[in-house]
Amino acid sequence: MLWISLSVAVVLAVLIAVLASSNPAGQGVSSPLVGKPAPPISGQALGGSGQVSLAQFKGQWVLVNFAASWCVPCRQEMPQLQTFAQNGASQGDATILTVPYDEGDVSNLAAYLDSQHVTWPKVDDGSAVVSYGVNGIPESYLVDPAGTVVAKYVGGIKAAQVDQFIARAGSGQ
Amino acid sequence: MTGDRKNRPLRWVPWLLLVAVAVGALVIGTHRSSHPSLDARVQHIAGEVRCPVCEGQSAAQSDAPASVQIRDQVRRDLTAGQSESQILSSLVAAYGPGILEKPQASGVGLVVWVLPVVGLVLAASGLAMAFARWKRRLPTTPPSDPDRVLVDQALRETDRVFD
Repeated sequence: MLWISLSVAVVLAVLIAVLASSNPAGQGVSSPLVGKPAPPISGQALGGSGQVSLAQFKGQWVLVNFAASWCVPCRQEMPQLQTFAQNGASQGDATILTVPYDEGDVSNLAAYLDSQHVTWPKVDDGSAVVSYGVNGIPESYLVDPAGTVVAKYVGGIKAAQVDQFIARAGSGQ
Repeated sequence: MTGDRKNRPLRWVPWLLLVAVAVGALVIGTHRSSHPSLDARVQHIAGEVRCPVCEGQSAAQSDAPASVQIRDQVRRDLTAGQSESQILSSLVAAYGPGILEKPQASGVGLVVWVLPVVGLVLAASGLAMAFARWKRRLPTTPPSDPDRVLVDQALRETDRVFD
């Protein structure tokens, strides 16, 4: 009888451990992409002509930012994105790449970004949302100069936080 | 008797009809499933994937933008000639293994498949051992003569009380 009780207790303990350690899909800031090469992004430039791709920014830090014109938290995030873009431009080592998410007419997003005097690149790539595992917006992925995803941000970035991450990475911490 | 012999072949008619309908249904069903439409394939694969932002729904059932995006991507990948396993692997690479409706039968996911079987085996073993123990406890020796005398005396007393 004792060994039956012990067996049941062990099985229950394993089950509890497995359930407690499982990560609900799509929640939080963990991402299976962190540490892996960034999925390619390429397509027509939003509100402009020509092609834009993530690959053309290799050698720089790129904040891949998924957004939509109808997304209120995305609009609230805009000042932080602009601060980050200005810091990156002044140091010449970082930029933002905006990708539309569930934007029925991408010209709406282009118009909104123009109204905010956004100068960083924007690209229409419908497959990027799924290849990056985006669950909702605003959501951003930081890609290092070597093309590896190093961080995921959910619910809006803080420019200082991302700058700090880049500074630490640059100093080898 | 002669009438029975004449009706004997007719008795098989309903059974033959039943077999014909069953065979026909199998043929049609098999043929249909071997050539599913693109929409059916999209729905099938999206049904293997959880909605990333809603509880209890697959990407085939949900109208959340994330699920719609997944269905659109699955359609693009199927059109590009990718197989179901390639598409599911891409989704797992982007969203993690938890995106699948059914846990993978490898790594930690294997626990989900193995645990119920182990539990069932343990429960059945426990019951078998308990039954065997209960059976051993049952008396197997017949009553002794003094026991019989006692029972007879008790029965005579009972008869005397109720007479």
